[in-house]
Amino acid sequence: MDIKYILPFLDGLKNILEQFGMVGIERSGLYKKDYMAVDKDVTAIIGIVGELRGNVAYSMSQDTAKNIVSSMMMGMPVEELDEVARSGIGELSNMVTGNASILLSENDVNVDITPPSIVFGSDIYFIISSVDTITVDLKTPAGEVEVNIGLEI
Amino acid sequence: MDSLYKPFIESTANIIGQMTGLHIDLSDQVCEEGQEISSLGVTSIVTFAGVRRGRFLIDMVPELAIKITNNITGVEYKDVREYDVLTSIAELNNIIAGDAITVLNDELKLSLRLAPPIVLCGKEPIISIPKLSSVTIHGSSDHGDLKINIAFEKEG
Amino acid sequence: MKIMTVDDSAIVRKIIRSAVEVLDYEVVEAKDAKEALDILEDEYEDIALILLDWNMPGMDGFEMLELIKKDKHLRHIPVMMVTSETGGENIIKAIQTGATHYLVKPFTIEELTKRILECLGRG
Repeated sequence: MDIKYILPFLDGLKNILEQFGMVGIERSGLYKKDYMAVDKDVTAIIGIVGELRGNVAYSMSQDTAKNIVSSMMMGMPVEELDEVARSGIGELSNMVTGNASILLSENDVNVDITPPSIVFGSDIYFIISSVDTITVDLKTPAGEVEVNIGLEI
Repeated sequence: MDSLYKPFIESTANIIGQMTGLHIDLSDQVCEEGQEISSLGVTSIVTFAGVRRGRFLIDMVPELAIKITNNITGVEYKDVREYDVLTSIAELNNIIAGDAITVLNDELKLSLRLAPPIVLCGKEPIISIPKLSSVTIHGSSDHGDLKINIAFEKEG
Repeated sequence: MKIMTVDDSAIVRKIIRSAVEVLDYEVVEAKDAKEALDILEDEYEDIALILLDWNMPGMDGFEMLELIKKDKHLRHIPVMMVTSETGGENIIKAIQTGATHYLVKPFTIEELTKRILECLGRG
């Protein structure tokens, strides 16, 4: 999988988190899965169609999600992932999608990104793609975010 | 707007019938949905883009997901988390959505293309779709309830 | 006087509420254009400013802006469009239709406060 297809999704998240003051984001791991299974409790998924086809999933624990929403609300404490907090992750997903989409077109990748869906719950188990998946762990001040990229190329 | 929903509604009942022999009763009522959908247990989502962007979601109780898989594969599965059960529901959704967008592309020239289906199960998942209005159609079968949800972005 | 926020996202309404309350204005929240128009029908005389999200399900913010600017009771109320899109065309379209200001998400509280004060002529 060409890095030019992956970077926009990592940088998209990084750019938006930085705008909310979460700086110093690092890649802490990169590995390959046979298919994209995810078992974290909060996952935002966007689809890709065009010269590529696939899904990108941003997954995190409930604690990471709460910390991110707290940063979005200028540090207001977030006790639970209620409707307000969930809408925060929704806003964030929209912004990341928009940003990634701009970065892809700047890299001359001709794709459309579909609207994000965000899943909240506990004991969640996903199969997001049955194709080879690249997983990148991002260490952020809010906690770990796992970025799963499954593309049919 | 009805012309956008109708192909999905028709394909759902037809394709589940053809592939599994199960009869699905879908309500005539098309309900406006809020931004959050509570899952019945197993959910598959297919998103698409073209002239319009959107999402098709099919959601069902675990019993029905298992029954559908057993009928498609001829194998007796018990646990909804098995790979074959989840991927069967994803594939079913892919076929329904593919059938529906073929109709939409022919009739309305929407040039829609599908992203691969995703599927999930869990304890009371909530699926949120920011910024999109959607409709839900409830349904039932002898093996439990299901619902479908269809969302389209506005034109332009 | 009151400031109205029209946004489908609960978190954006909450952020706007916290900024507006510091300025000693009361906040009226609406989650979509329909709810906002219902509230305006009764309370338009008390509304000093409308912060209007562009991208909402149902009627979008731009369509609502057009309605506001055509209504003889509402058209004097300043409207600030809030959007996540950075496209210049939309800004021009909104200003031409009668929006007073334009705010791009994500914004800081300082930016939001400054824009609100500008809209209210206190900048």
